[in-house]
Amino acid sequence: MSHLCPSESELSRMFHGDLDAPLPASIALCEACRARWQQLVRAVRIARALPVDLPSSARRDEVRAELLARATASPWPPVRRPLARVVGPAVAAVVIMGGLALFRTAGRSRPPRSHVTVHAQPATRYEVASAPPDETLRLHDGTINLDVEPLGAHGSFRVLVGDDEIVVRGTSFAVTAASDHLMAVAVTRGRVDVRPRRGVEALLGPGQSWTPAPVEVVAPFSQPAIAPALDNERHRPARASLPRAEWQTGPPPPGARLRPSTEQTVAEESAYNDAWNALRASDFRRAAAGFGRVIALAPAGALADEAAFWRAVAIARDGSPRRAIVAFQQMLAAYPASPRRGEAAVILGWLLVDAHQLDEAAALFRSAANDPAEVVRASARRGLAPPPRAPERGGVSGQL
Amino acid sequence: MSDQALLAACATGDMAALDALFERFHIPLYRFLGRLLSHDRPACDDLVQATFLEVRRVARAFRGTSSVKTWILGIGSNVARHQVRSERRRSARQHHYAEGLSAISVRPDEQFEQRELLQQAARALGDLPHHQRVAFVLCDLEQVPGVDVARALGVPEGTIWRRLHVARKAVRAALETSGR
Repeated sequence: MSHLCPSESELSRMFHGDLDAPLPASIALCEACRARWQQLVRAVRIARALPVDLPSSARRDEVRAELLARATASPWPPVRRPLARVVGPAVAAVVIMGGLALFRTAGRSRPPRSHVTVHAQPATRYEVASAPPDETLRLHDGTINLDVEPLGAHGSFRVLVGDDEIVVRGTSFAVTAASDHLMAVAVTRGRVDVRPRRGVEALLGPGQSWTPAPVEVVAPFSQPAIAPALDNERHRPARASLPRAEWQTGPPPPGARLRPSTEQTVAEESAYNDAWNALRASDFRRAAAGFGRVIALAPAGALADEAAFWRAVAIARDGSPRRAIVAFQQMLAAYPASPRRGEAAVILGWLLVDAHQLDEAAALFRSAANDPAEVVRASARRGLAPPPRAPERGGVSGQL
Repeated sequence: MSDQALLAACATGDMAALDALFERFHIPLYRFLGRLLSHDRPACDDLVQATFLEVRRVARAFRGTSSVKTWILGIGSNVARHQVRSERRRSARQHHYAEGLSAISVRPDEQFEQRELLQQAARALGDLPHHQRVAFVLCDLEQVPGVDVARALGVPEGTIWRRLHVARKAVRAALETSGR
């Protein structure tokens, strides 16, 4: 029985997108059909190889913040003119007479407008938790600057950070958070009531600021329980191989970079020690929060860059790659001279590879190519190596 | 929370649900719109926002005949069709593909050949009418089943197959004409 070649559209219908699927039996023995099939598969394969330009996490956060701001500002529920036309006079009368709570979908009521202008710094993460008149933002990471118009007797505006609350009535102020922990509040105009869950409530006026109280010192800083092997170059513990294996590093050895204790330094060291113990216990969220507190206590302190590095590692190990990308970017931006910059760069590079941000990843690998540590240089070389080609199967042409 | 439950919450004006939908679907939407628009980045940002605002507005209308993801991509397709019209933008978008190749190095000759092929594919894709481009990107590049695409776009399945066939033919012809 002779083979009847299918039409172009029939052949196309047989292909369901699986580039590696075997040829349908009805055309496998026909050379002409096989050639047409291979051309079709090749065209789809090339089209799939077109680069996908995904946004950076900073750009994504900006788009998200703008989306939520626009959604808050737009009327809700949305105006539904066709429904308004079919609503009978009696129902319409109830709506007009104030049945807004019962018939909100009739589209005759508009929620109060926002009295708040939000300026979020790059890589800030926040969300609108409730709309006016009792407007609430929840801040997770980063800094937002807020201008709040006078709200009158019936409006309110709050910023929530974890369990802490900042309540305002007509003012300009900035709030900074790290991993859902309130780090700072600074007031430019008006009055702001800061209500930390743990700690004393504070009423701030113009020019005043608030930061959390230092961690209470229980005991002087003591050597961490880990005693990793040190390499000679920078007192760094030896590391496991890359690219995506768990880091097996430890904190800086005691005395290597620590100043003689002052009350503030002891608080930093104690907080660092607690955070490190949490990391060892695989309590990554507590570790990230703890390292965040170290940074807040002394952003320019001796442990700050280490804390920023380990905070980002803890976030990554907590299974939050997008937040880890932001955390590593913040660390590199805040501490460009840190001895950890090479390690941070390659870890961030591999996170960006997973996020398909290959150009940014390559730039980071190049920046780490001359790191003093061989394991960092080796990881950077692997990151810059060309990806292996997938083997061809099933009779598909070897060319793209 | 399931995608459907999130969408239902979004339909009540729940901002946290809208945020969660963005978190869950912004990557596939960016990828789809990027492929549809040849990676015109500012336009993609605007269209992603416009898509989610539209999702919020019409969330009540979701009937569950397709997945939530495909439904959102379908809304993105309609938003893109209404907003992107300029031929000048299309030319600029096609240029962007040449710049968008990864900086991670391959052999220079392979890189050149690859760049040529991708430019041909990008041009062919950019020249397709909107409906055919949507069918090709959703079915062949995003690998969404044709029946799901048909339901999300509200057209018969045969229509999707027809558009897909014409699109595939055009892309294939462009690549064969280039001699590779």
